[in-house]
Amino acid sequence: MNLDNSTDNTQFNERDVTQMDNNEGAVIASQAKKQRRGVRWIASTAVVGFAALAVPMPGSSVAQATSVPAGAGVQCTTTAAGSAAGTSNFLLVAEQGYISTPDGNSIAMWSYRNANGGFQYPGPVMCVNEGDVVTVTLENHLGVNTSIDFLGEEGVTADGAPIQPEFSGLALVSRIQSAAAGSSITYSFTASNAGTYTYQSGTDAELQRQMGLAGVMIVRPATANQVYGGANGGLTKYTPGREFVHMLSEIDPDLHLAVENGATTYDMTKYRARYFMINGRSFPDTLAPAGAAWLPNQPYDSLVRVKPEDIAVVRYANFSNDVYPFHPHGNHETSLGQDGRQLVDPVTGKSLGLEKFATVVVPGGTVEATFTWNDVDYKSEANLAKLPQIGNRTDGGFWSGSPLLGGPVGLGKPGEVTENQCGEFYHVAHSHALFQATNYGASGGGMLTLVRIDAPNATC
Amino acid sequence: MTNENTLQPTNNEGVDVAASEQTEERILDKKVSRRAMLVGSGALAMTGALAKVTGVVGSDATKANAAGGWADVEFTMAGTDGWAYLAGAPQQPFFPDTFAPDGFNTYIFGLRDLTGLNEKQVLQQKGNAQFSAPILGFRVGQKIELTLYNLGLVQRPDLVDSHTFHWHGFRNAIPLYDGTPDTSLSVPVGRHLKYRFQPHEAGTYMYHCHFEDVEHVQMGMIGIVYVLPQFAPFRKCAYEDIRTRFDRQFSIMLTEVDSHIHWNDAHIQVSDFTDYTPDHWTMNGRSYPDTLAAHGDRDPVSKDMVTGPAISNSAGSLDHSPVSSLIEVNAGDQVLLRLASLGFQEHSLVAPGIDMKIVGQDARCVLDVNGFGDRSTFTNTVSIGSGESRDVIFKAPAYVGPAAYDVYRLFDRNFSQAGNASSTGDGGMMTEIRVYPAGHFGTQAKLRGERQ
Repeated sequence: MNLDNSTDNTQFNERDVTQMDNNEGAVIASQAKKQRRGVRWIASTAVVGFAALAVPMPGSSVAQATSVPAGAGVQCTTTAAGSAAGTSNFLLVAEQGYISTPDGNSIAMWSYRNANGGFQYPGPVMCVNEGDVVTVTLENHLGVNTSIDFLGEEGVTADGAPIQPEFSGLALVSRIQSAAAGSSITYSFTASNAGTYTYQSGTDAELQRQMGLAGVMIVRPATANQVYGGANGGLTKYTPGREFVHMLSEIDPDLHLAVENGATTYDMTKYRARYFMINGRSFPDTLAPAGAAWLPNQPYDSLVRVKPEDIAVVRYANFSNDVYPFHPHGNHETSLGQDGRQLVDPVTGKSLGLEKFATVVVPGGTVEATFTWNDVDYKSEANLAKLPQIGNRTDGGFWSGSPLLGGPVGLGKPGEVTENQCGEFYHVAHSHALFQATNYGASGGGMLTLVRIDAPNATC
Repeated sequence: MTNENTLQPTNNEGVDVAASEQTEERILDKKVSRRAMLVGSGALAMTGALAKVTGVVGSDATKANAAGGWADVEFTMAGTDGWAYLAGAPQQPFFPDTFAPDGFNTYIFGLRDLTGLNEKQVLQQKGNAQFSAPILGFRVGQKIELTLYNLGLVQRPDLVDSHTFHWHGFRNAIPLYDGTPDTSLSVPVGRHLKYRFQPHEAGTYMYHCHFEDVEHVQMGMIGIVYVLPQFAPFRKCAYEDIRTRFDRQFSIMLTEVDSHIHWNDAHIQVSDFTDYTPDHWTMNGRSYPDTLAAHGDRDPVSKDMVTGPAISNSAGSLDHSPVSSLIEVNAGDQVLLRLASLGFQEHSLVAPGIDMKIVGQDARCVLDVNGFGDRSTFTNTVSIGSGESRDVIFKAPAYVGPAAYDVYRLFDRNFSQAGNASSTGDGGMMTEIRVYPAGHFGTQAKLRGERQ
């Protein structure tokens, strides 16, 4: 476990390192409020402002071979080289590893990784084409039986046989055929419907999914740059490159510690989530580059990056037992589909999606939603009130210094810097059950990320 | 005297505006509100303008606005702390809070509307927060300028939290006026900041402080803001669709209170918000039966916290919880309920005996409009989650009698949330719909919270 992950980046200052070295969640919870407020934007300076400094990780997989600046969108793991047309083949390993939280905690996780990659949480984002025969072989490096349940897919087989529950006597031991410790099993099915699907352990599922055995599979239609195919698939178009995944999850560190220490069950009446994550990271780590060296086991960022008028699509997936009301600032989101089915009236061809300012993602469920931002009234300063002088206001770390998109950068105060190097806008997007937008109760963390809006003519 | 329609009527409500009358002209360099302008004669418009200017004499903040001439509506709000009363059984040691002044039991942060007060009067309202914040109502196309003051905290002088105004759900917001402290500006103690908004879409939105959001929202800095369509024939519709027409409108802000967190803030303790375990459930900042108490409107030029009808109940003072949730209607009225939640839990509101139609959610009409299919539904249970809003229309049932009115209840069918604190029994997130004989109430001329 890398306890000093923050020090990999020379841009962190001393105060930051001190905070990041604190490895006790309980201590964090009782820290003075003032101290909590100090750290989070400093950390984000490193993750956004110095993305280019991140170095490739040795021995990592296709998805994480090099760091990718935050906001590039979904990082797909695709079929193994040499696969026949119309097939998608994956080799995953289930094993234990560790992730870190922004307040310096270290959490034992069980997760799926690519066979040729390092430990990662969440599992690989597997991207396949609609109609593909998908084959996933799972190697079990855990000490207990485990499996992969492709909920939402039909006709799934395990080692050639239809999936069936496993019993020991009369006791259900797995919802589908599992791999014993040290062995492997192969699942196969035809990805017959485009959309976004979660996959997760079907063995001791409550505990194993909570431990981290979950991921997303994206099934793409034949037509590029739309979420669904078929007669009404055109309603789900998005701007090329503006495709994002938000895998939502939460962690009770006590449960993970107990399992790390050998527990095989946990009293869920004691369950209390303390960390809330998008793509396996809590804010501000959500903004670090994909594959960032200082987050070696958490390869996925969740920055949404757009230009005005772009249609961005966000594929939400929920790996927890809670409902998340996810609130994007800046504009409403329109849902296109959920759980692998387009929201459309087949008779009229009209969308049955909802335009919402809180996209609700239910346990285990997925939602695809589009997001567009356009500057309506504020292209000129005529619509802006005079700003107070700098001593009479509190400036945020992601405030460019100008109310205008692409406007002059800088806060006008000696020594003051801004993250917004190109005069871009940032909006937050977060769970509106606001205790979930915290790191162990400290506000401004957790299930929260940013939407970056670049000026139309931006070159950086 | 508790109905929205008993509030002072205004002479320019309900006047339909022909497109030809739309004009952006200003008269004599005085700010004339767009609405006053649209109402008709120049003389009437001038009267409106002078009255408006008179109302803000002495306010440095609003003087500047008048000179700038941008806004159709100017208003002033302030963030501070204070004390509220919530019904419910004791939960030692957190509720009632022993620090609370007589009549109150819960420490709050809140936003107040202080429009019309001069700066000195505004600053004197430190420590007089309101829970929940006032209902705000606007029209599509209005140019709105808000001056937000941060008055600081009386109980916690050590906390120098800034405040912001986040219009939750505002479309195509720029960061400056989004009120997220991280991506824009916030207001330090003793300072103020001007926000400008020009809503283009009708619907039910919310506003809240986004600074230290989990704390400031839980502590009470939350309110409903709604936007009505601009032109006839939709001026009394939820959206630009005649199927959303209403005779009466009522707005209810839902939230929960975890009294342990409120106690912590009053007693200089730090809360772990992941321990969030609410014990009170409220509509417009009150628990049943206080939800039925009268609405307290503030005199626009008074220095007092709340004036208007007496709204105390027998157990405590509602002077810092002035927003009523009582729904009084005529039989046969089309009634619009604007429901919004800034708690952190799911709620399921049920009104037995009343067939409700959900015509909008999250400030979007869900009837067959804008290329979307019809997703409106009839239901007697309205589900609403954190940060969501619903627009619900029902036709008030026939009056049966023999009492002066028939009573229907609107409550959370999670019964622990239609209760108070540590005891069972009715309370919490519950109010009444009282149906009077047809014609009992006149036209609901001024909608609660609507700004002119």
